[in-house]
Amino acid sequence: MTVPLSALKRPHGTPFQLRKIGHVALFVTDVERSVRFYVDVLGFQISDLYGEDTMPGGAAFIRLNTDHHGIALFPATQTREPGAGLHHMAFEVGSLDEVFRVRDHLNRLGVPIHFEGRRRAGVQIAVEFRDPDGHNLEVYWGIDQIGSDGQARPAAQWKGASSLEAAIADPVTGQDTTLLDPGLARTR
Amino acid sequence: MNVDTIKAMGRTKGLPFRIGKVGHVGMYVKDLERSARFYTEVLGFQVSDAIPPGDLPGGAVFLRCGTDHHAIALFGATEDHPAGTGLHHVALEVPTLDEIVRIREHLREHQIPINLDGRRGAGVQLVVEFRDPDGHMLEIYWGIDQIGSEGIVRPESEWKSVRSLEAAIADPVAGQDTTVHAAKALLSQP
Repeated sequence: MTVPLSALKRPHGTPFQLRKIGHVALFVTDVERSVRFYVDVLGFQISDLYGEDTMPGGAAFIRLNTDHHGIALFPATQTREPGAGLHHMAFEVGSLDEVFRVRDHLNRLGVPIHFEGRRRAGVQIAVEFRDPDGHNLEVYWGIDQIGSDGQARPAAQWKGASSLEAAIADPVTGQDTTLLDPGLARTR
Repeated sequence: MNVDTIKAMGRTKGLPFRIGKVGHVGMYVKDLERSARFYTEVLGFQVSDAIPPGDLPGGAVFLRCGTDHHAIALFGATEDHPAGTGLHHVALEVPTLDEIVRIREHLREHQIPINLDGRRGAGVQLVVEFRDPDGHMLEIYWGIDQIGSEGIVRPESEWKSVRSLEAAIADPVAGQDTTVHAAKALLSQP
């Protein structure tokens, strides 16, 4: 350690600002049992459910405010002990440009990125990587907002994409994927 | 004005509520369409609802910049309220319905006249409205509609405008949980 921890500061000029912990995803033994707990005991609402056909064991995305999910529940697998595991934790940034800046920043620092683009439920545009212990982290922008009518976007509109460029080239309905700094996108 | 006296004013302890944020501002404008165009085209707001002058003197347009049904409300100027005199009202949000009930009681205790309590139309929040010492209209509210990414706004047929908290609580709009907890004793019985 070159700098004592007490003297560590946010590096000047960090090209993005994380705004909040947007959601946490957990491994659980029994998705259905856990959904019942979070809904009945804590008052969450269900935004989306993956059936067996989408993911073995299913998955659940539940919300506590207008963000599509505040908690996501994934079934424990053989490689993960059931009941007490972190699947991933996600941080929100305030602009699409910042997701691109995070990608550049991670590349510059040599942090491997294991996913970028758009997954499914929630349709946020994200970069995923790991912390030194292997915790999965996600930085995202543009997660669906669920209104008082409780209507979540139909799965037919999800548009999974495996790069940031592909995600912005083909926006989902209502998502404005204009980069304020177009130079952030990679050209082929 | 005594600066020291003013700087010494802290948060009053023991208040039965806590304001969470400035939720929206209402303004009088000369030409609703011109102003709606300005707020959408220049500033990127989205229209949540528009009320024609036939339903409300001067008419109104409600615009959002996030998920709250409105952050800006534009009211058409009338003879009583010419354009450019600015403010229609300022609205402050509290996080729980109990606090709305307690605020009404608090205002009554302080003999501050209440202009309206209940539920207005667009946005369907439960409100208590009153004036500050200069006559600025203030609204304290809970439960404003949240508009999702799909942009669907609650239809007008669901609004349930009523002129008392008791009536608003007894007849919630779809999706609004109007359970009052500890402040129940402050509600008048039917």
